[in-house]
Amino acid sequence: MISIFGTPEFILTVAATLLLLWEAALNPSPRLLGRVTLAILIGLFVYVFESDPTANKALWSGLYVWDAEAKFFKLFFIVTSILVVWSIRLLESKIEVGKSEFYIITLFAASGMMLLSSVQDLILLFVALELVTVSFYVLVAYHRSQTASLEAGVKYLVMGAVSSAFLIMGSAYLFGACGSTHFDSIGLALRSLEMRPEILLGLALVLVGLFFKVSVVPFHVWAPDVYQGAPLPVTAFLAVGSKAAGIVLLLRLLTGPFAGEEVASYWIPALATLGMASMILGNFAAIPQRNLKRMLAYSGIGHAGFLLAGIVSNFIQGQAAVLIYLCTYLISAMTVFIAMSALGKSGESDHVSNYAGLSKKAPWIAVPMALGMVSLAGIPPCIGFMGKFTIFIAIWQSEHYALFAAGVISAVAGLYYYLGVVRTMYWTNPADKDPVIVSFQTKIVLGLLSASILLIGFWSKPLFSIVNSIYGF
Amino acid sequence: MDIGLQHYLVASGALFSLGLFGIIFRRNLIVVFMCLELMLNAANLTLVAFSRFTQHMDGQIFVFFTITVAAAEVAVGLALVVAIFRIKGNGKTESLKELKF
Repeated sequence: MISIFGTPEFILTVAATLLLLWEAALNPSPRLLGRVTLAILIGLFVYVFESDPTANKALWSGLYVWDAEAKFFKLFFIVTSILVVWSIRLLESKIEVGKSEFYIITLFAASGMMLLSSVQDLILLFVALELVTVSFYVLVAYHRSQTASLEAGVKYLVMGAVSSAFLIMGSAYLFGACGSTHFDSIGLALRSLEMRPEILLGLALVLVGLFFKVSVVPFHVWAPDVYQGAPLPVTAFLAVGSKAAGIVLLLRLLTGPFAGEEVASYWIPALATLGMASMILGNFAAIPQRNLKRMLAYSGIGHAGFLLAGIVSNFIQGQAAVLIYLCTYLISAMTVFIAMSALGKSGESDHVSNYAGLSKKAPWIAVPMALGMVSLAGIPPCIGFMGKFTIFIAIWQSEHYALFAAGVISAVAGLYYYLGVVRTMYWTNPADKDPVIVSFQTKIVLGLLSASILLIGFWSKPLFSIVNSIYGF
Repeated sequence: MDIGLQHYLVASGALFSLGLFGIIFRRNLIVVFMCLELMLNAANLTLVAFSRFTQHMDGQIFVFFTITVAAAEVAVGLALVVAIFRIKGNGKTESLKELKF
């Protein structure tokens, strides 16, 4: 990690460009390209894992920071991308045109997310965010002969562009008030200036832009439609990667330049209210849903509410809880999405009724999926419980009792629909008896994910010590 | 009358709101994309105005990035409109109503 050329984003972007050229010149088979993509991501994981975050803290004259938090999130996004690529491999036959490009655009989105975890400047923030968003516009509308996918693409594009406009407008006001776009200079200016309306306006507009990405109530309206219409791997990437990218930006901004007590007294009540609304609306609106992707969209809105609650608990403990919650969400949600992809290979996977009696037809899919659902609901032995538990402790310690109550109510409401899916899989009769074929490698991936749901749930000390070492306690 | 910072800010705020209202109320996808551009350019105007009156160049550099990214965004958007036009035969927002509860 000595120069720009050693940063994982640079390596990934160059690799993706080379893959694009390779695809254009020699036309390799999409399966081979998928394998190479996986190999690149796994290699990059090892590279980032082995690197030392203290060696060279700031690059590009301070625009880019390479600290423990950035390393954590980069590894997070690489793992997410590996699992998303696996899901694409499972559903490759459903892509009509441009199978190879699907992998490559995923890599570009992944490099944008990794760049986001290191930003220290509003300009770089905007460019990295747009790298992610524009890649997603293409990915969401990838099934271009299906109106649902196109409709989702248009909705995501309009909402995404509106949120970018809010973000730039907010950045402009922050720049105007502080005289710089760099986070450190903004923080310095905020400490020396008295609170002026243009600073608050700028912060509010930037937050609105980021809330769109995280899908927080009332900026969530796009999420159910887009999740439902997008191809399944893209839904998974949106649910985990895009949400985490928004959260890392919120953490970078709110615990960085805007952590001062005076400005925090403005954003903490706002975030607490929106977090409360997201938890309740997300979990209650998910109950009547019959389309699984749409249900997971609403559940994702609920999870965004929990994450905001963690950020509001303005202790270091709250930040650590957010990181732990994101890890548990990554593992649980990706288990569900990969199980759905494994089923989607042989038929429609969206509607809940298609999962009737799955335990008899395909136990290799039903067991991980049930575990994932139970974990998302936050039931004790699973990893999801650890996430919810740490968030609740952080909320309680920061004395946001209304938020705590809303969290408890929505967690209970969540049980109903998550366990409803499990009930459909185990206690209803299948419509047909055709067995679902699952490949050996997919069984291994699903087995590993299920094992980590249970093992980390029982023995979560390593996860806590990793997160605690980031914040130095 | 001297034209000061606040005149630019009022103008860009008006353009921004106009764009937002257009996105909410217009029914043609192309017009919706034009309104998106209006919002982005309103933000650009704010950046340039602040840059001019605070004597910091960062804002003008920001505008270059915004223009480039907006071009990429519109390229994807127009491709989507073409794909929709091929299937539906029109570019109206009312024809996009498949995804709902």
